[in-house]
Amino acid sequence: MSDLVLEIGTEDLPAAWIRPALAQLSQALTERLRQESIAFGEIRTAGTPRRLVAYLSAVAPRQPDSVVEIRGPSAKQALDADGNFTSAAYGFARTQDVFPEDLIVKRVTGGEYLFVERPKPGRPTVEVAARLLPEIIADLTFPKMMRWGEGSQRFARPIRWLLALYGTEVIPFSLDGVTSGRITYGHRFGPPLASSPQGDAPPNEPSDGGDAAAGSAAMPVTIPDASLYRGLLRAAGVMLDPDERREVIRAQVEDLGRAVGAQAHDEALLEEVTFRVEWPTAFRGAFAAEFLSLPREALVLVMRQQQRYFPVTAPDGTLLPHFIGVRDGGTEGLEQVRAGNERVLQARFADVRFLYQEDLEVPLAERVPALARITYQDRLGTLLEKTERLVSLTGYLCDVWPVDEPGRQDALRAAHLAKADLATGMMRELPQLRGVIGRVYARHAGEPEPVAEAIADHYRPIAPGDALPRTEAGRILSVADRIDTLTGHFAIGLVPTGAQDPYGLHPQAAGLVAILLEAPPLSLGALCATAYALYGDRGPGWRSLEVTRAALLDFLRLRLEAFLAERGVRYDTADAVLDAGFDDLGRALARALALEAAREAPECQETLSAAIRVGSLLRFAARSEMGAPPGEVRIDLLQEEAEQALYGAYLDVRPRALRALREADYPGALGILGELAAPLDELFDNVLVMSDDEPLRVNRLRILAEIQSLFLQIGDLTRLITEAE
Amino acid sequence: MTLQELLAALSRYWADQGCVLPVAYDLEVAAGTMHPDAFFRALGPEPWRAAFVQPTRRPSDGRYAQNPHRAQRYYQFQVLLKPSPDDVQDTYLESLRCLGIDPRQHDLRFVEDDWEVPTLGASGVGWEVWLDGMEITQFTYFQQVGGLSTRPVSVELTYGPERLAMLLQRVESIWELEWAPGIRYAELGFHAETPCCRYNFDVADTERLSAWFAGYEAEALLALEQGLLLPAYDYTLKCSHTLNLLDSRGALSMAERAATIERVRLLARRCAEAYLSQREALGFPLLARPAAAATE
Repeated sequence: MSDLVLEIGTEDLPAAWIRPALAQLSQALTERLRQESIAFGEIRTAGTPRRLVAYLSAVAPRQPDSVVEIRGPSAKQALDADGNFTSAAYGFARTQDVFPEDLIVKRVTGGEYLFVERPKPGRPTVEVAARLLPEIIADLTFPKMMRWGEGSQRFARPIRWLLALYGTEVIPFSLDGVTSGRITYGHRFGPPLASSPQGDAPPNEPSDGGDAAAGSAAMPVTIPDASLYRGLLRAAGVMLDPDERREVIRAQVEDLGRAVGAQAHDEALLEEVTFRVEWPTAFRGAFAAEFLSLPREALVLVMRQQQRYFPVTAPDGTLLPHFIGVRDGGTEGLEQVRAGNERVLQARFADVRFLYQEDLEVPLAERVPALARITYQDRLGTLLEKTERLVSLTGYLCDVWPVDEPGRQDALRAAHLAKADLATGMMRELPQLRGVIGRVYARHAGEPEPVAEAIADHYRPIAPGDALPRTEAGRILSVADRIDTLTGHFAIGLVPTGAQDPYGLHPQAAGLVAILLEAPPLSLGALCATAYALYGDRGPGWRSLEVTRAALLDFLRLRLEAFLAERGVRYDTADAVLDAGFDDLGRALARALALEAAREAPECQETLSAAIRVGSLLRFAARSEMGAPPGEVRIDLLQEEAEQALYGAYLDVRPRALRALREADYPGALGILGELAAPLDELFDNVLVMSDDEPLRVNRLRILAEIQSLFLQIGDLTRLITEAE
Repeated sequence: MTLQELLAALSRYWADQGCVLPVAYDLEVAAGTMHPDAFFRALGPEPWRAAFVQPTRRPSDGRYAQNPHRAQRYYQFQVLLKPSPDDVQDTYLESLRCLGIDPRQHDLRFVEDDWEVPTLGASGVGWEVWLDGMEITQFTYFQQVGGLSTRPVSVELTYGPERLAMLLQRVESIWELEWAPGIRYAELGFHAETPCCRYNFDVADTERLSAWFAGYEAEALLALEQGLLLPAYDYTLKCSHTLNLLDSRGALSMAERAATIERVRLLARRCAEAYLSQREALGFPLLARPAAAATE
């Protein structure tokens, strides 16, 4: 039993690709070794920008021996009537190079056959791994692959060395010109100084141009035994384990923040930075406080996304003129590193200030005409046209959701200005600030606060799980923007297929559903028709409203199902509710929650099964062409006591149930409809609904259809998969 | 180290690595990649190594000399190595050491960056090289040039000499750099920066530029029809620069911009194809050249 280590040495990998690659590596190794019957204890992976590593403990030295059976002719051919071998048997023995007495007869499916059993000794692990490893490496996939040099291998970045050891033994293979061995390379600039990282360390002697030997490239490190790999690499300045690096960075960043009485915390950035270094050392820098007058969002964006610095905030949340960076290496030249980073940030902020001041010279509202020059989507016109549609849709929504006059004025103004920031200079450099920078410019231009807020708000939610728009105008505008985008794209046939979503319509739809689930009542069909009409006549290639809307509703239904699942609604409950229609999403949610709760409530079981029987019977009748044409129930045809009782109960229940349904009190409605369970049972037990007497049958089916129409306002309960089934 | 010493040191270093040292191209280009000895040489099977200084124009990057790092005209030190050598990262780091930059005393990082010049149909994969948070080099393995797949793959190193010099001279702004002893960068460049920004952003006549674009495009097509490669390519470069001027004037909607880029890209692609067929007709002569350019 020895350890096995594989290290794929590469040029610097994109940070976000390393973890997924390690997961692939682990899965592939586990699977392939299992297929090859090579036992091992535990598999661990680790990685830095320059290496992907898999480490397996207690790997068996070879495959277990096994027996291979080779099938020959059938017993009928191989044995004569007396049970002696025929020439076919001798021939088989000869081709298999065994004595005839070694042949055995075995019964398998299909009859009796001759077999040769041949022991197959297990192959040594090194030999098997030499075959597997290059295949596993070559099969790793990345979001974007490249070629290099004269080779044909595709990988995330060029592969420069391969270390593969089983115990002390090299696992020999080669991949596109790189041969495996026991050589690895430590940190690119050698092991870091041993001193503990300190942000405020005294400046080192600047040694640029000085001691050239100290800066020479990392020397190769020879690994005599797989079990020594991690320790030797650490001594060479590589902290292999991402979790360790992350916690080291976390602690350093927190310490540096605390030293200025502040906090710096950002899990996503922490994860990214973890995969940008082999040996982390954090440092704190400062910038001129005058930059704090620039929009905070812009400063944070530049620090986080452009420079990968942790912004530093006071306990009350205000931004402080500090930042914390993480360098790759030890404390050598740390003062110089800090000064360099400060200079860069200063220049970046200067650029933001230049654009910001230039943008402020033109009030936001005056940017709107310039939107005519920016195409929204090739066949959907310019951003100015979109703006005009947004204003109209906002007016529509303000009518449907009664919004008071001041609220309406704010929403309309916000719609007019919503896209104006896309014509500013800041968008050229920091397009991620759309909306947010619009809010800043709107405030500066003296727009009312709700208008400014709505401009930023209307892009929410950006990703699943994000906060919804916080303001009424923002919510209105977000719905208007999303339905316009979705309707337009669906009308020209740009419908996402599978995971392909080049126009980002999945998040648009998810956001629309999330907002409408919490919003006042609204007809989705009418909203879509309104948005469609605003595009006007678009000529050939423009789909009809019916086709567009049907496709869009199908698309939204998928998002809706996902939301319902998150709320604990089972998929068949969701099917039951959505099959009965979801024109109003808020109500669809309430129906689903009520039905889901009813399925769990003992007192509702009879109601549900009665409703299911009603639905099933009606469907059966319709399928057997014995259904009832629409029409009134005739009192004079109610012959049996049970049907009279049921109809009486129905007339009593109906007005109360309708009121509860109208008020969206679905649990209440289910309770009221439950009063029909007992009379329905009586009917099914005592009356043959599918009577041969057609007028009687039609009349009974009509009673059931009326009852069914009430249940359908909640859902088609026949879609429920009951335990009995 | 003055800027001119820096450029000389880089030239010396890369000459020692077997690079040809062509001089800068004499038309407005937005990137050293547009130099014919980079763009065309990246195509086809012939090995190539070249290094040169190329003045570069990007009208939209002008900041009226108000930004310490950005200008509408600056320099690139361009290296093209084909095929990309296995030790190219180390060779690059060594070039920094020969400028007196000890990477161990700095934070040197290869931060992933997919590079692209859409007008040339050129794209690649690689990094921005960061030194203490500042981008000092674009480091790219070309995957496509002129819309054609590259085989073998070239690697392109584009140094920002001003940024390196700022670091070495410990100055805060490119305008304060010393080009030669006692001669500042501003002396050579600043007098032009503000007027050029004015022209690029506010003055250039967009109608006339649009008409010229169409004219340059027609000339490029005319030259292509006659198999006149370099004249066709020159007009392609003029189209590209005119497009950039129109862009800095804000004269192009996004759709127009995309369509205009596409027109230049088609020209570049046809030039690339013409180059390849002309070299093929010559039997790819550099394949036969003894390894001088391919290895040092």
